[in-house]
Amino acid sequence: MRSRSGFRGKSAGGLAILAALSVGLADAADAPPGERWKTTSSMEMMGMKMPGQTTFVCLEPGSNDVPVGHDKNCTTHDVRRTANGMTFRMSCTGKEAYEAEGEVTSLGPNRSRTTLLMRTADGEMTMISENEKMGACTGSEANLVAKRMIAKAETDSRKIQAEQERMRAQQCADAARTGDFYTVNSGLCRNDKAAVKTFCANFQTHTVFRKIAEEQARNVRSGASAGGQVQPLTSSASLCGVDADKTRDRLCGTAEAQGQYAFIATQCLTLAGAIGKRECSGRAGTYHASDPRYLPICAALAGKAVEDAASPDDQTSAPGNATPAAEVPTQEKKKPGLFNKGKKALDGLFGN
Amino acid sequence: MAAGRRGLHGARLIALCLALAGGAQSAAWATDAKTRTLPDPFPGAASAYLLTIDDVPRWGHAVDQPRQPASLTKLLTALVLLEDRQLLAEQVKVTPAAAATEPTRIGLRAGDSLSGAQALAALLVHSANDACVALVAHAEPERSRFIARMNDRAAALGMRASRFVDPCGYDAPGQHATATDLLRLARAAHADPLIARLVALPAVEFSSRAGHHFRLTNTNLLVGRLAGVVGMKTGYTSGARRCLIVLAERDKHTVWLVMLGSENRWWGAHRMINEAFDAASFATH
Repeated sequence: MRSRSGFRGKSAGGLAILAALSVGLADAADAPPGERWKTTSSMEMMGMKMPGQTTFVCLEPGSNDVPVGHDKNCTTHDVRRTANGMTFRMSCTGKEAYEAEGEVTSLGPNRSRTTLLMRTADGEMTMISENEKMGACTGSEANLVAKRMIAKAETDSRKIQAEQERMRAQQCADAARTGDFYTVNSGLCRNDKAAVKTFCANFQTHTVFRKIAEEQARNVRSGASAGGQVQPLTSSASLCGVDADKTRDRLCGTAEAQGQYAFIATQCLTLAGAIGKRECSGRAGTYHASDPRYLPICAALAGKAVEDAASPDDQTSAPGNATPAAEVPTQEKKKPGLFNKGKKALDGLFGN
Repeated sequence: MAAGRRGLHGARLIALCLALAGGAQSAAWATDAKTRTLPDPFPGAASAYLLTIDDVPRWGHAVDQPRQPASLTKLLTALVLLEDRQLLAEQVKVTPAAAATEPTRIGLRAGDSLSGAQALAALLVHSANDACVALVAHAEPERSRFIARMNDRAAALGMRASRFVDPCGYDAPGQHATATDLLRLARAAHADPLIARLVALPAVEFSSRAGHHFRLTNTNLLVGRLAGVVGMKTGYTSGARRCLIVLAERDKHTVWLVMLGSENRWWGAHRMINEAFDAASFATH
């Protein structure tokens, strides 16, 4: 049973080089130079015969090709001219790989016979093709169609790769522009110098620095960064080769003049505390600032007061060692900057 | 002149309501088991809270723990009331019981009446308990039947861990809701275009049949003050403490926030919503 099914499979696979590619040949391009040959092939295996099938191949000028059909997985080699024809070998790869030895015997100026002995995993098969020259190639021959398919596949593949690269670059550029550290630092973008450069430039702006610093603070508060795996601020500084503390201090220096109150709210605590005492309501339950632009500062300070109240450790810590809610990286703890100095300025504001 | 203006206000609101009184669509929101283990980057912000970004639960605390829902209940009351949209054009009589309700109230007087649309606006914009009691009595003379309808509707919305005892949200034994369930409720309520329009109003004006003029401000202070907030509902009782449901939209992102038992809801919500929109621009990691 196995041999029968193997026969069907292999014969079909073997004949694919002759027959399968002859389907849908009507899309022939301009007629190429060369001789058009009609081949009618039959297959024998283990005493069984497959009915003959006909296909057309084009022998191009100067080609060592042989008048047999072609599969895109097959190559011919060791082509040798003989007194009465030629011999060749064929190697096919893929799902039904095989090696073959072939011989073309001339039967006159316009006729020949090809014998192909194929050695497959299931045994040997013999394919015999009767070949007849039909005139000039039309472009619809199986081997030409196969070449075009291969060329198109390669072109398509290059287009797909180019499109994928374009999309990747766009995704990285977008992430760099918006300060999406996770994407920029991923394998997708980490080696994209343009994206990293853009990201690092943005990282040193108020908007993106604050966003990344607050993301890290949230990770710390929610315990997501236990073990230091998720520290976007620290990692961004490292990626960009800058010191997070110094960058923050520098940005704090220009924040008020540039109206960056959201940045001040969580990154410049000394300044935020001073503004908050002056501009924010001191009572919980209200929602008022002397000017709407101070709302982020008031919100941050109120939130900090709530977090301090919710954290028993903070309440029992010595004042000098208390950890500001938005503080995160280890290095910040070691090198107190303006950020940490602001802790005292918040004490008493938005009391519990 | 004054009467004319009052009439105009009332007519305008009724027209608005009738125009928007199309069939309500309840938005189904699938329970996400991940809500059980959400990060809580805002400890102490509320006794329980749930924040979703673009319908994905992102942050939360005690999201499935029962709490008193206070006036957030009124969203469910509104949904049940709007099962019969004829109510909007009907005159709702202010009963003595309605006129005698505890705050928050707008000062409706017994014997006066207002349209169902006006009463609904008072219920949703100003969380008026006198309007709530009047509406419930008008819709269902037998209060227990109305409560049964509320719980049936809650069950239909998939609010499996919630039970309602008072239509206006007063603290009551056996009444409880979770942040997860209240988000389901809020989404369903907001799917009703009339409710969505009303909760987004910074203020609303109308006159009762007796000619009393009312100008009601939205109890949700974030409306009109925090960018992107398109309203929802506030609540407060001594048992529930301060509660809030907020919907905010910026760019292509949507943030829902449910806060139960907060002492600092405005500042807390302000900060959480702003941070949520910041976080929305980070890829999921």
